[in-house]
Amino acid sequence: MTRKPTNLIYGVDDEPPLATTLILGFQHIFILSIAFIFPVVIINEIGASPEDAQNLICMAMLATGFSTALQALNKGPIGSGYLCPLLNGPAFVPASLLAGKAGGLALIFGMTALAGIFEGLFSQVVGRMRKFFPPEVTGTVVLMVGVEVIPIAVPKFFGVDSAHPGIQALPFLVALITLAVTAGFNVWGKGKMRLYSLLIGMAAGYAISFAAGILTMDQARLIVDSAFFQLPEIGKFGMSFSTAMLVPFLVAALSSALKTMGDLTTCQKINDADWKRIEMRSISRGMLACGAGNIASGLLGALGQSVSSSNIGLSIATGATSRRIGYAAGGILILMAFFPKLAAIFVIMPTPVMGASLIFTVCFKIMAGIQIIMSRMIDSRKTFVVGLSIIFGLSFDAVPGLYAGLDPMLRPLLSSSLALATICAVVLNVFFRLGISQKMDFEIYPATDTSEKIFQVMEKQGGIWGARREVIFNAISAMNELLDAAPFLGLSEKKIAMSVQFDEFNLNVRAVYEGKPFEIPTAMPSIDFMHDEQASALALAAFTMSRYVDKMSFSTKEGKTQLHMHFEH
Amino acid sequence: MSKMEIIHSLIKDIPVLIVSGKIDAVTAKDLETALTGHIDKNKKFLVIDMEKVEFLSSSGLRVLMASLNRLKQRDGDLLLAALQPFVKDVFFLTGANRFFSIYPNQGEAINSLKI
Repeated sequence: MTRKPTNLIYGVDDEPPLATTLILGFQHIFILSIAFIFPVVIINEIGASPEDAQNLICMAMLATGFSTALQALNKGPIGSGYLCPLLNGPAFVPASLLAGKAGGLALIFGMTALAGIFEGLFSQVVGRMRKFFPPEVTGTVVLMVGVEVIPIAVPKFFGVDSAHPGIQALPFLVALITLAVTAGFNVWGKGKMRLYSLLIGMAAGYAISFAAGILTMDQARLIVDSAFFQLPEIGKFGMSFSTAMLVPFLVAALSSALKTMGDLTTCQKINDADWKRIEMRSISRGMLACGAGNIASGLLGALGQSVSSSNIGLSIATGATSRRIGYAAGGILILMAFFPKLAAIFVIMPTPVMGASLIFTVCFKIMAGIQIIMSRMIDSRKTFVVGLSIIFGLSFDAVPGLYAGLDPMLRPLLSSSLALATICAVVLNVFFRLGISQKMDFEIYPATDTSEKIFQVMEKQGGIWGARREVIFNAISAMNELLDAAPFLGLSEKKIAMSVQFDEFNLNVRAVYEGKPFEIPTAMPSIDFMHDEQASALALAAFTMSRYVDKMSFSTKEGKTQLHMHFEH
Repeated sequence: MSKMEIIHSLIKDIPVLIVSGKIDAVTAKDLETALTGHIDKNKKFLVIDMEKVEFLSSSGLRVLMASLNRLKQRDGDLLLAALQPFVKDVFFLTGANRFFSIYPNQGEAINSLKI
């Protein structure tokens, strides 16, 4: 059972009122609809017709609506149980472009379905790969998932495109106001105002865009001119397959799967005040839902999909993570495929409003990544894993074309800052784990050593192991209590041999000394005896020690006492 | 060697001890000397600002409780201010918090005395 964090208005298991659920569902769709640009990009690049683009967007609504609802399921073998909407993600754009140019839309859809099958298979083995994804790796992936959106968001925020390479004052002003309104309501708004902060900001952005002429009358007319009801043409282009396209699509699926892992890790963390580590079961079920979503995409005739990091940023920002919102968003998306008038509201979204909304959500995503990384103690090994991965990940956007000359087989692996950073983090984590022992021994001499020695040894080792700070602190405190008790156990001139063993779930300390076991009081010694050190110090140290450990016991071996302390990690 | 520092000040005639560093078996003796010095001068109230205390072991806790007990016997009090979360944990884990008056900062501790 998880504990709902206090900053959430509606946690994952909460059931907001129906009207609130629907409005929050719509708010998520405003973010998802920004990705409708990707089908248009693909169509433009491969030279298909505008009608094909319309069909692709319509199928995108159906496919992502299905998988968004599927992802929210918390019963049965599929679905992570979290509000984690999916969209036709940029992860599949490079592979789809290759396939589209080689074999048209049918090849894109066939290979997307295959990628979905691969993702589904990968989901069944990912549970056994926890050690490859410690918090510094998943945190870096979550951070880069946010960073990856920056090159898409920033040009839209400043009104920059191929026709306008410089900052455009008017679009920039609209974006700035949209962001200010959204952030303002999010920071200072209470209750519903915070809940709907993005919707309020976007409404302001639409209104100002209309007043400024960025949103034209002709665009607005699209809502009026669109049909009220229309049956979508499912599977219009069929499917075809090519072995040459296998590698790019498998890489896209892997990248999407890792992104799912990063995003679902964030979902776990934001919904549990006591979050400690990645929980692989919901990751596996969530990844399977993504795979099923991609199979659906292929069958329906839509682009490959992956989870939307921006929507998770929105959940954090608004404090609403109820899975009911996932069902609502999925249902509305499916309805939109049948009601083009409804879809048109999102299709005409002004570019500066898109830029401002994306930047707003990216802020939360980046912070979530940093928090996951910093949930563990960091040493120089982890500094390199995180630092190098971010540096080489960012190099993709910072130095355009840097990896263009590489072998075409390798190119999909280096197709985005996220893919690069993820590969770096996973590989570097494996490399830097070499030579790390899970056991460490040291000695304490009560006559000369102080708490400083225990702090130094344990903090260094905690960093090497990537342990949770609070667990290491509890172990340090308990060891110090033994040091405090030493003079009263006759250990002043003797040594205490410490042996510390760590794995992801346990931290065990064994202290061996020449002396007798001591009594562990079940209650705090009386305050009236505290002035008498001889009478109270040992009992107070033993009692305090017992409060830090999860379990403790004594044994005797070769005439020496062994004190066993167990800490849950 | 463990490091602990104590700065003594007097605010509204109340001794305020600003303690920084780690209070362990070694340094607790210095804290005991400092507190005893004030108590022996018949002071009724003492304030300890613990904002910069990084660690508190049972030796330090025992010294604080013994000093508190002596002050209570003359209707005085030992007020603790600005405890960092991990130091606060020591009081709550052991239940020692029920003996002490704990304040968010030094100013509130002094104002609470209304002498």
